[in-house]
Amino acid sequence: MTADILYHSLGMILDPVVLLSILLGAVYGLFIGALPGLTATMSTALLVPITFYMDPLPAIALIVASTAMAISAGDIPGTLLRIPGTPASAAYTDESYQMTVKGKASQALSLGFFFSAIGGLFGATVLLLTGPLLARISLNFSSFEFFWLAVLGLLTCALVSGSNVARGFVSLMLGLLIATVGLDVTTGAPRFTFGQIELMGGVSFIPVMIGMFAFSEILRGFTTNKIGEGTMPQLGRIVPFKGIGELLRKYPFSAIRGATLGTTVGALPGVGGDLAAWIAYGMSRRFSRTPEKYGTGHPEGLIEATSSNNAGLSSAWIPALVFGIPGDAVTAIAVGVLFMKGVAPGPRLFVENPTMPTAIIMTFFASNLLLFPLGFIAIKVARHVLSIPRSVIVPIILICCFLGSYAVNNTLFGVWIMLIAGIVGYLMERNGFPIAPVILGLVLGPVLERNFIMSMQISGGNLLGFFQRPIACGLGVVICTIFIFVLLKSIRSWLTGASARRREDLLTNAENVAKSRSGDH
Amino acid sequence: MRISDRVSGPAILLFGAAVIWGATKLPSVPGVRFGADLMPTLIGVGLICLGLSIFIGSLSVKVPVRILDLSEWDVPLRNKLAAIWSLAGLVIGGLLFEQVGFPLMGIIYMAVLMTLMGTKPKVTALVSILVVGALYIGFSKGLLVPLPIGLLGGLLP
Repeated sequence: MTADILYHSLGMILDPVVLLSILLGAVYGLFIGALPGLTATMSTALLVPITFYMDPLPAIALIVASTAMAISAGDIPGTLLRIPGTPASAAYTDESYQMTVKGKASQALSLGFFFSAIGGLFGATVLLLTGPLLARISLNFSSFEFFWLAVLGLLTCALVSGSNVARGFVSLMLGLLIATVGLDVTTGAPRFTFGQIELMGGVSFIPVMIGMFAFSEILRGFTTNKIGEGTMPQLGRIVPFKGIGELLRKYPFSAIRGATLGTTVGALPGVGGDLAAWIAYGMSRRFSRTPEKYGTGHPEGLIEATSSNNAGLSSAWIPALVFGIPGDAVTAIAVGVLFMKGVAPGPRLFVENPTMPTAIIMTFFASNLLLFPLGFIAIKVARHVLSIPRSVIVPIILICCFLGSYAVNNTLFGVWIMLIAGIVGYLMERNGFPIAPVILGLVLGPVLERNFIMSMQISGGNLLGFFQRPIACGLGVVICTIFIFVLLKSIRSWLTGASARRREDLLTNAENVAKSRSGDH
Repeated sequence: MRISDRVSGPAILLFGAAVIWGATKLPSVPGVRFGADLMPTLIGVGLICLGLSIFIGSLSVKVPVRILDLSEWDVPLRNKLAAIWSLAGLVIGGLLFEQVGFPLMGIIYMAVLMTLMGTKPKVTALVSILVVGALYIGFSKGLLVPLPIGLLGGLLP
């Protein structure tokens, strides 16, 4: 990367439209993330119709800023009400809530924003330094390597998104199946279109995602006893960012370790930042000198987990930008937006138009730096944001779901897809089937199929051809080893009945959480 | 709503079989060895294996599990009505979208749902009119999404 590219990229993000997009995205992300049940993925999904009318960089800047802020703001309802705002913040919600109980709500919120920003800046630096290098290496990739990378992304997503591997794979298969609807990528023959013209172009992932994440969440919300307004706990005096310096001196390595772990985990295709927070919190406890304090309102685990959160969010863009393989649902949407704008993410982008990916990476720095001032304001006004009654916000979200799905093609077809996806998503989640693999399967399905068919044609149908190039062979061996290991473990689980029991435990826990949500507040 | 694995497993298996059957009906292109049916067939095989594995896994549970568990919907009537309206309202709104128009459909949809969720009438009226009005102007005038005006055609720009 040359200084010239950096200079031009900086010029691109200093454009008033881009800066305004970052600011508006951050404020929007703050609002969405702070509301219980609204995830960063959902906030991104709802932004997509707006990005139709924007240039590529402001559109991506809007998504990046809103996601970074929504992930951090997800800590607010978790800390104050014990309701995780995002899946990532669920990893340490109990810990931060215990700090609130101890009268340390201000410190819990402050360290959440501060270390999220530190982690995000660390992840963005890694992305900036390694992105172009990885892109140069991946220019030598053929359909075989891209096939294996797509498989790796799908495999890891299916494996880590739930406690039951078979269910993760069922979700993945469903996503891949939906991706086959429309004209076949190789022959152009219509598949599973049932004579419907709207299906010829395939099923758009936007209404599917809005339905599966937002609509299903609202349906699930109706099963709790109280559907009206929640009440706030006594917060005491809130002083933003007080005591952060002391925490930095006390736990100097926690933030670095969390950020490093988050960057590594987030960079794996299909994993993303959500998992990073869970692993970071677990690892922090494992290596802590005072593991017995965890769960009682101890800040050490929070520092590590919040750092890894935003670090993973930034590094999830490494596979997305460099290989065109989304690392998680958010980057899957962003990659879709980039394709829609005629910007194809992948190694060629770094060679042919290096200022664009560098400018995208720079928006991460701007977004994460905004966490400090906006975090300050958010902590101050947290109680007011959370006081919006659920009975007001839910109808607004549903109308936005309707409009977001309609605006995809300006037809009601998207709305029907959204409604069906919402019901299917609700049933899937209630029965332990994770949703993320469906979305990733839907987005990566065409990439997987195109490279698979191309590779099969090159190798003449010989599956050993997938192992004949060095990198493809390495990737293939790793993936097959993981797959065989998981298969053997699953067979052992069936024989002992552990798999089914785990599912029952999972569902029971989910019910207990739902009961505690409605009962506590 | 929870469904027993002894039902969902075979259902997934049958679905996989149906996908394979559907794939066999896809037109083949002469000279193309790996055609449109390859991917759906592989997915179908995967679904059959997974459905089978879920069913076999369910057999190892000794405690009897209900085929269909609806206990989570043992909630106040208001919740049930809100859930039904959140779905049915969008379906009805979609069917009458062109005739009634987005502004009126949106206001009615939001007002009914907010009332069912226990919002006061004044707040309901104010929020639903303001939100739908802002969304209509933002999407139709700002983003140029062609939202039908319907019955309010003479009143709104």
